[in-house]
Amino acid sequence: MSKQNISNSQDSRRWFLKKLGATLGTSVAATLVTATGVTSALAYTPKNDSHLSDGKVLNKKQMQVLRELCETVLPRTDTPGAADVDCHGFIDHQLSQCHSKQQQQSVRELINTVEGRAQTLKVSSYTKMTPQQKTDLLVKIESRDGFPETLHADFKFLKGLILFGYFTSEIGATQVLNYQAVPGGYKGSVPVTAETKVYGSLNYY
Amino acid sequence: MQVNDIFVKDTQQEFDVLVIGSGVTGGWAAKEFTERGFKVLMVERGRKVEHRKDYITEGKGPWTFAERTKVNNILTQEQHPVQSKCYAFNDATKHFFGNDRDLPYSTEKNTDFNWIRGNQLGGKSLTWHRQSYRMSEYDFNANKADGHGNDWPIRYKDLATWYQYVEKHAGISGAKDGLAQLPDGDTLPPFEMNKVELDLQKQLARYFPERPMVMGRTAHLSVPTEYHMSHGRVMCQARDECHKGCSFGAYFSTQSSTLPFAAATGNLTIAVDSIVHSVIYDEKTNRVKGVRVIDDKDLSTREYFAKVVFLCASTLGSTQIMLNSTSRKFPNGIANTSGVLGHYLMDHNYNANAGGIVEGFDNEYYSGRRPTGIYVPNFQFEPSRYKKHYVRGYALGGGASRGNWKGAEQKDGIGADYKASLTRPGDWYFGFYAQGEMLPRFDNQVTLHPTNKDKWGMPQLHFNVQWSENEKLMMEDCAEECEKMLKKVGVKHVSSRVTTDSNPPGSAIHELGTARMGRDKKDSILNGYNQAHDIPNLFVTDGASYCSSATVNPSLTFMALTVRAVDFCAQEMKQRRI
Repeated sequence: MSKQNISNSQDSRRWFLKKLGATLGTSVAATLVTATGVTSALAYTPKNDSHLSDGKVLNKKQMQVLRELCETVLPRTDTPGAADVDCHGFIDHQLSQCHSKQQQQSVRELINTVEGRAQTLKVSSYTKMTPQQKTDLLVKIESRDGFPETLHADFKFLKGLILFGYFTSEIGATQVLNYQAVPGGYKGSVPVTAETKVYGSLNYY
Repeated sequence: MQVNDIFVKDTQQEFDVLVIGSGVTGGWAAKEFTERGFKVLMVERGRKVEHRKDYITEGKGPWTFAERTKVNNILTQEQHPVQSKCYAFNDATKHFFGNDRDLPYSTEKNTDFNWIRGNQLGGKSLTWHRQSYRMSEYDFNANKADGHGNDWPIRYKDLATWYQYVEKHAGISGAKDGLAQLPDGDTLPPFEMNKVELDLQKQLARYFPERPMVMGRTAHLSVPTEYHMSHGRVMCQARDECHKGCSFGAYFSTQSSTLPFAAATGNLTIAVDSIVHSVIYDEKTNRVKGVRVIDDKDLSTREYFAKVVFLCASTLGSTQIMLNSTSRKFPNGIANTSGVLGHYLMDHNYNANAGGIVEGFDNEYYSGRRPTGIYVPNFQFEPSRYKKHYVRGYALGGGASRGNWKGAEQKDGIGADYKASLTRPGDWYFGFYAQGEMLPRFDNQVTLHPTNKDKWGMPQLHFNVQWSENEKLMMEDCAEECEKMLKKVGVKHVSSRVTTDSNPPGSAIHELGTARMGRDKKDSILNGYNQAHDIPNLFVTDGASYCSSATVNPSLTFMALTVRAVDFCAQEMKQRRI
C-alpha cells in the first residue's frame, strides 16, 4: 500500500479493481465502477417522440411548446440540446410525479402566455416563431420586461426543471459535463484548463 | 465472510448476551462479546441487509432513476413525510430509511420533533454522516463547570484508550491538530483541503487564532492499513455516495467493519425482523432474563433469553423499550427508580449558516467528491470562553466548492452562451454551518402515549421537546460571528440565516440522553459503565446514556462507551458478579 497514493487515481483504480475482483469476482467489480450499475425497470425512459402525443400533465400542443422552450434555453450546439435528450418528456413526467398541482399549473400558465404572445406576433404558436423571436421573448420574461413577477417566477421554476432534466440525463451528465463515477480519491488541487468541464457527478441531486 | 447460516427466528437457547440493535453500538457490542468467547444473540427489528449484495442503488447514475433520484411526492406524503426532511433521503437511499406510515409518533401541542429512522440490519451505521471526533476533557466537565445537567460520571481519561481502540479498527481519517478542545485520534491521513480552504485556513489563523480550522475527521479509509485490507476494506474512492452503502467497505458500518468479525468467531446468532416489546425482569433475583419480541412480518410473539441484556437500539429505541418494560417493582419503566427515564432529551442544533463567494482561484479545481468538509471545533469550550448572554458553544462545519448547474436558473441567460457557461466550473463558494450544543433540560421529555399504539401494538412515543432560549440565542450569535469571520477573510456577498424556527429538534439526527449516566442513582439511570444502577445485568450503551450533548458528532463516543462497557461487563461476568 505504500505505493498507493490518492494523487494517482488511475493506479489506485486498477489496484482497487484487482483487489475488489479478488473478493467479488471480476464481473461484479466491473459493474460497480461503471456509472450505470444494474439498470432497473423505469417508469420513464427517454423517447424521441414525446411531442407527438399527450403527456401526463401537458397535452400534445403544450408538449410541443415545452419542447421548443427546452431547446431555446439549452439549444443544440456542439453538444446535444435539451430537446435532443427529451427534456420535455422528462419534465412532463417529473411534474406528474414530484410536483404539486399548483406547480403543474404554473408551467401551463407560462405556456399559455408564450402562446398568447405568438398571436400578437401574428404567428400561430411559439413553435412557429423564429429562433430570435423565441429567445427574445424568454429574455423579456426573465428580465420582467413587460411581464409580471409571477410569470418571471413561473419561468425560473421551469428553467430549473430544464437544467435538472438536461444535466441529469445520461448525455447531459456524462458527455456535456465531466462525470466521475469513481473518482479514485480526492485531490484538493487540479488546474483548470481550456478543456476543463464542471463535474456532472454530484453528491446529491 | 459467510453470515447466512447464523440467522435464527425461534430458539430456546439461553445466550450469554442479548444485544438489542445492530447499528454502530450493537455491532461493536456483538464484536467485543463474541471475540471474548461469549455467545451473543443480536436482535434487530428490521430486515437483513447483506454487505454489497443489498446495496441495490450503489453506483447508479441519476438518469437510471425514473425521477432522477427525487422521490415521488405522493409516496413522500404518504410514507416519508418525516424521513424526507433528512438531507440524505432520496430515491437512491429511501430503502435505508423508515416508513413513517408504520412508525407513527406524536408531539405535544406547539412542539415538533423530527425522528429519523433506520430500521434494518446495520441500522443507521449505513446512512450516518461519518464525522468522528473525540469528546474532550472540557466536554465531560461541562455540566459540572456551569451547573446545567448532572455531572458525567466519567472523564476523558476513562475513554481515551477506548477511543484509540475503536479508531484503529474502524479507520478514522484526520490530522493531528494538537488542540485541547479536540483531542487527536489514532488516525489515518486526513483528506486534503482545496486551495481556497488552505488560504482561508491561513487567514483565519491570523485574524481568529482562537478559532482554528481543521480538516473534518471522518470514518473513511483515506489510506487503509494492511489490517483494513485484510478484511476486504479498501481505499475511499471519494464518490460520497455513502448513504447507498459502499461495496468498497471504505467507510465504517456494521456490515463493513464489526459484523464480519463477530460472525467469524462462530459465537454470533442474529434474529432480524424482531421488534423488542419489552425486557423480561425477574423480581426475585433482580435480574433481567431476556426480551419479548413481536415479529415484524406476522406480528407473532416470541422470547429470547440471556444472562445479560445490552440495549443498543438507538437513543429513542432503547428508551421506548425501557419505558414499555413495566413490572410491580418498576411501574414507570425498567431501572427507573430515579424517575428520569425519558427526560433530558437532546439533539444538536444545526440552525445557523453563512456563506459567500470567494474571488480569484479561477484556475483551481479539485477532483473527487470528498466525503468530509472543514471543521472549526467549539471555541467556547469552557465557562471563561462563554458569551455573556448564553452558555456553551458551537462547532462549525463547512467547505469550499465551485458552482455548477444547480441553482443556475437564478442566473439570467437563454441559449448557447448560457449553456456553455454551465459547462465550466462556476464561482467558488465558501460557507460555515453551526453545530451547536443543546442543553440537557428536564422538560425535554419523551413518554409513552397513553393510548396510541403502532401496528405491532407498541405504545407510541410522545415528544415534548423544544429549543430553549439558550439554543436560540446561540444560533443568532453563531450567524453573526460567521458573517464577521467570513467578511474578515475577504469572502464576498456574505449572507447568513438562522433556521431555529423551521427545524425542530431531531433534525440533526443526534438524539441523546433519556437514560442518562450519573454518579447518583437518585438522578440517573446508568452508572459510569453504562450499567443500570437498579439492575446489574442491564446495560444501555447508545446515545441514551449521554449527560450532555457537547458539540462533536456522537457516534465515535458511542463506540468507545460500548467497548468499554463490554470490557467491564465481561470482567463482572467472569467474577460472577453478574
